[in-house]
Amino acid sequence: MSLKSYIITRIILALPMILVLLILIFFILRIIPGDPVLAILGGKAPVEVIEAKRHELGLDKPIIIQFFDYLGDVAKGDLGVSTLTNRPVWNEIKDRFPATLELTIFAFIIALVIGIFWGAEAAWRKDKPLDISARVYSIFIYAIPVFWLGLMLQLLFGIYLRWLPVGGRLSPRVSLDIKTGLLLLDSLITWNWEAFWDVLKHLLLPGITLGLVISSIFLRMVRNNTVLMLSKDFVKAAKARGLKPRVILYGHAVRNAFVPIFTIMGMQFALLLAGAVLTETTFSWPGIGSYLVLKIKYRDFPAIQGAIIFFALFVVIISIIIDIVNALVDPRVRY
Amino acid sequence: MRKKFISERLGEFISDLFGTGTGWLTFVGALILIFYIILAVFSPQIAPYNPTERVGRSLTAPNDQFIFGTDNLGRDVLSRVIYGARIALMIAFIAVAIAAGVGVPLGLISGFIGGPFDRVLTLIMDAIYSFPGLILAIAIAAVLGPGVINIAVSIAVVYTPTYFRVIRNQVASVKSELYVEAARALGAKNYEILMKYIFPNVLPSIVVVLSMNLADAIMTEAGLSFLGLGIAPPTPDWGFDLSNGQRFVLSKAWWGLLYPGIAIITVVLGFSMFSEGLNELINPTIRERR
Amino acid sequence: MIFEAKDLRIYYKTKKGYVKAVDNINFSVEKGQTVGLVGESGCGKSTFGQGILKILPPTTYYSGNMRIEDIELVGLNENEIRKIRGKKIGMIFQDPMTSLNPVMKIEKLFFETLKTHEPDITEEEARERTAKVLEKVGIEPKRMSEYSFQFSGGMRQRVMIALALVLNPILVIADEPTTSLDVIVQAQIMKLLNELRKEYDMSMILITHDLGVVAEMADKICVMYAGHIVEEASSENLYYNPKHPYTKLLLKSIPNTDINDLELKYIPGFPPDLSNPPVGCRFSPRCPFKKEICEVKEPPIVEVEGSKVKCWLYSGVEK
Ligand SMILES: Nc1ncnc2c1ncn2[C@@H]1O[C@H](COP(=O)(O)OP(=O)(O)OP(=O)(O)O)[C@@H](O)[C@H]1O
Ligand SMILES: [Mg+2]
Repeated sequence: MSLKSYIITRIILALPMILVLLILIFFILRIIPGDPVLAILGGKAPVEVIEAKRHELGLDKPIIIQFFDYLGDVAKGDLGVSTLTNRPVWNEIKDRFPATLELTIFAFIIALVIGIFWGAEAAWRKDKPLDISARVYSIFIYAIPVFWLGLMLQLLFGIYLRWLPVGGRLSPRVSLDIKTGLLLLDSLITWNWEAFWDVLKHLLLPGITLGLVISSIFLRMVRNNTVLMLSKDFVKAAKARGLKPRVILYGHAVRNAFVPIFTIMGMQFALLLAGAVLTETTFSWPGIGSYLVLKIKYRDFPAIQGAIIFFALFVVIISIIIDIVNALVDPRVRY
Repeated sequence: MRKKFISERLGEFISDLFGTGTGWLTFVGALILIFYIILAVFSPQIAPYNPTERVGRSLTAPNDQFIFGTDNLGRDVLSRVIYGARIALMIAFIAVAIAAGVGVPLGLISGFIGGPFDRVLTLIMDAIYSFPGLILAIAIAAVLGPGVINIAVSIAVVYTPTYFRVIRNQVASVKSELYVEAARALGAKNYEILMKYIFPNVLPSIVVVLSMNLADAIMTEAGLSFLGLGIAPPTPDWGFDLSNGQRFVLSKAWWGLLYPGIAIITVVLGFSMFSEGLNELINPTIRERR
Repeated sequence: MIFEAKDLRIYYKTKKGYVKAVDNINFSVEKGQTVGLVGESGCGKSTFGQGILKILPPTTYYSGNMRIEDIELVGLNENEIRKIRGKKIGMIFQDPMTSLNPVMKIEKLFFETLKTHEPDITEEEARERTAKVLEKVGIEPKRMSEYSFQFSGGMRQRVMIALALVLNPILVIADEPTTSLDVIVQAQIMKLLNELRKEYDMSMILITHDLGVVAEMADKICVMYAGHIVEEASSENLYYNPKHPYTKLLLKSIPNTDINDLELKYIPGFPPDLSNPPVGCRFSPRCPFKKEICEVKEPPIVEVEGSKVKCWLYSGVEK
């Protein structure tokens, strides 16, 4: 199968899942809570006002029609209007999404770096101190709630040592032209070094917090798979050709160890997003996670629904992307 | 593919470190659990102060009188940590009971009946399952509002598909086993077959999943209450106390953050060690180990 | 002499003690020679083959001497021996399916090998040399951008051979190069190996179970049993005039090519546990001609009619 038809098949297969997710969200947010209008206006609004609002939101129609309206809107990218700000929810999400993306990518990279290097070196020195310490690390990191880890790092590096800021993305005194919304990238393409350092400093604590939490899974997978790969014939054959230890470890063993890891990454991504919500709240990071929590406080249902739909689609899309990357890394998937 | 419980992962990490078949780890896990259960049950007797009352000056650092210090409202952190075990364990147990109470029967029926009913239910469960658990719990907690049962329900929804999937798949495979066929041939009723032949077969898996689920439930509860979606203040709750404590990091009030966190971590570790041991005991062969 | 091993011992270190997989053997290869190494499974053939390149587990114990040209191998550290691997000694493994990295294009395997030993090589040069050697083993050069799993078993083994030859080594160790292949393909690969050995003017150590195959190709054959070389002889001598009881039994156990005689004969008993080998002659527990001394004292190696035999049956003959 060519890569292109593989991608197309993969996307088509995801469609029923997306549909069920949308139904589920509709059910949870529209049917369980009882009357969303009362939720918006409060119990004491006059009947006419309630009726008018009801009509405005299309809630006087039968539930089935409402459902198809909702599907149609979502398909058009219309997620409704925030009752708090009166801005289209989609625009608000679009504004905040880059922050979440920047954080999760950064965290993912940190987790991968820790996982790959520590995991590979631990596999190379199986049962030696570096390997054993990796296991102890994994246990503790995994039992620690992400927000608590964030708080501790904040306390240590932000409050006591004063090395890093404890929240936000950019200091108010620093100016930066926003182009992509990924501030690290923006500061790089505008050659704004002052902003770059400032952004990086803000990104470090939340990024490390989130990265550490998922690193233990990568670490274990890389380590165990690499140990397995190092015992394979092709590693012995590579050795017999005189390749350098580094090349054998990273070029052959770790590279092959990665093939099963990519398939597991999709699941890790859901964990990453859940972690992102908590991390964003801990570090006042203006992304979708803290957006969701904020909107819940104000019971802004269109925005809540929008954010949840966004997360659902995000997870599905990422799992597709991961499968595609997987097909690129492991050509056997495609054939 | 299957998501893994925190306990399960931790169990893997732990047996990576100590090797399998470590009975003493299970024992330590059980000790930790008993310790927290005692704290939860006897909090009024154990806690030195009323956890919701001002008993000292605000934000007192740990000293002889308040060994864990006091929070911003002058409440004793130690007492709040002790009482916090109540809420954490209570919500965890209720959530797990609901998840199992819904997931297991649905799994049994779905696996047993098969057909379109099974397919639709499986699709729905898979969709819930693929959703990031915490975010789903957030959404449900947001519509349900605060309260022990509401929080427990929000958490339960996240884990119901796990029970469903485990049970459904086992039932589907047990169903075709010889003795079930034989029972059916002898004219046993569906209900009888389900309860007499199939249920006892899947019971060990249920026990294991139950025990592993608890740590996750506690972690999710802590997350929800940290986000302000837990039970209403001033009830002591570790997650909520952490978010409350965060407001005073600038005053370096580390004690408000350190102790509730350690409580969460030790409970999670305890549950994980215990369930890992239980799992090895009950299902020595089911484990997929590399 | 291209390669020589003297009093070589290779012991695996395990929890239960040392596994004496190669125990005090002497072995040599002349320039242009093909030397066969045969014996039952588990007798230490692969250990010897891989021990030459020192690609056994790092805890493995070596003693004695190994020389390739003028380089002494036993004392070399990892960095020094690495320059020998692939460059002076090429290795062909049994199973080309598992010995070629499945997620790498085969050209990558060639390039990295070339690049390691000749750091200054350009991309173009590497490509050219790869194409040339692939052509030699009968693979279209344009297939170098494919993955190993896209090739058939025989083709894969050709790739392995090309990979072992790409640096023009002076010695090639082929460890059961055809065991995993179909019979017809086996013959083709053996023929190819033989031709290439001549063309590249190399020496070869051919490890195999199959006495029939080596007899055709090898100039000299060493028979291994439980970590010892029990008989060393020219192919003809070994085939028509075997000396050691083990060799004789081994020859009898070759499946007859006559279709009517499909009965396979096995040597009764099992090879010994190499972590605790029998005292005296290691073959004595299974030997039909066993004498008293065989179970007490290790036999010396003696020359009988041009063959070297490690057996008490012949000890009186010469002296
Ligand atoms: N890594 C190892 N650690 C300990 N013992 C080993 C190891 N590898 C091989 N052995 C043992 O060393 C002995 C020789 O093994 P070796 O692989 O050299 O045999 P072989 O003659 O190549 O057999 P085969 O024909 O099956 O390939 C065997 O008894 C084997 O069990
Ligand atoms: Mg072998």
